[in-house]
Amino acid sequence: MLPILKERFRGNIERVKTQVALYEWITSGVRGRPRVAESDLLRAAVVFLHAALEDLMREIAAWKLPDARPEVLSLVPYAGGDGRSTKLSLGDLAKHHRGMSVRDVIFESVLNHLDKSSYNDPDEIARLLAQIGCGASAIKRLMDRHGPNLGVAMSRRHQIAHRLDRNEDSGRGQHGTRSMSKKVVQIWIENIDRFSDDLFEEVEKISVSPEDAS
Amino acid sequence: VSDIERLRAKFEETLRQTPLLDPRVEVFEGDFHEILVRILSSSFDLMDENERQVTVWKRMFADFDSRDRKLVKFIFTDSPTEFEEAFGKERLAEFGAVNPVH
Repeated sequence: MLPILKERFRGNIERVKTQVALYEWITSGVRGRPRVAESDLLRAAVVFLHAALEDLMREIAAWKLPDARPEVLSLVPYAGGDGRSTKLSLGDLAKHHRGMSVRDVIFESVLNHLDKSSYNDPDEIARLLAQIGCGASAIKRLMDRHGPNLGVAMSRRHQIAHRLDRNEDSGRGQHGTRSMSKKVVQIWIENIDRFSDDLFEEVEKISVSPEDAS
Repeated sequence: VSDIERLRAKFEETLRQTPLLDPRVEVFEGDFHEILVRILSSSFDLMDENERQVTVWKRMFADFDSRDRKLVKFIFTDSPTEFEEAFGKERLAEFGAVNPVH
């Protein structure tokens, strides 16, 4: 499973890098500060970078969460329900899951749940890692090393996606756009790449799921 | 004490642990009542955006709990020169910061 996840993540990061390359291409030979419309390509790259990180977290969770402890799975709404309810009656089972194995019901419910999930800050990533069985010391190691770097890129992504990267000040009004540099985006790509390397290493240590063992 | 006042005090405290010169902090509500932070320091003139942000985020990870980290939606890190360019001399004076260029 891990090689597939690594390849998928690599492909997603290549798409981010392509956006940076497009920015380089349209700004090559241009003197002075790039226009906002040009640097929007870098902002799009930051949004894609975050999407690649979220996709990675979801894929790892889809692999590991079905084998999580019962108290963790108790928080996952069951597939076929209203999307919130975690209590399943025999009637619900008959209506939505007749003929399915317990493992399939869990798996489908986890996938539905992950489809609606998002990870907007490093603490949400840490929480997911705990749910999939990553040990406290491993999470601390990852967050000590990568937490601030993830926070920096994730908070800027939020500012771009929800506020169009406006340089806000107290009080409503027309505000300009914050500057964005290619070098900084490249650092963030490297940081998230390094995080993924350490993450794969830690995820590999989580006890083998029954499916892989068979 | 409101979250804004509490967070301002926490930022002022934690920024003392950084090498930033004379950091000034403003914690304010954005247009949709989200909490935003602006930190001004002339040290930022010598740092790129990533260095500035990581300097502050490292302190947030050391001194803030996850609830407080979540409350802060974005931290603007500017030098007084940049802030004056964006918002004017009067607004910079309100901030209590000095543009070293003048």
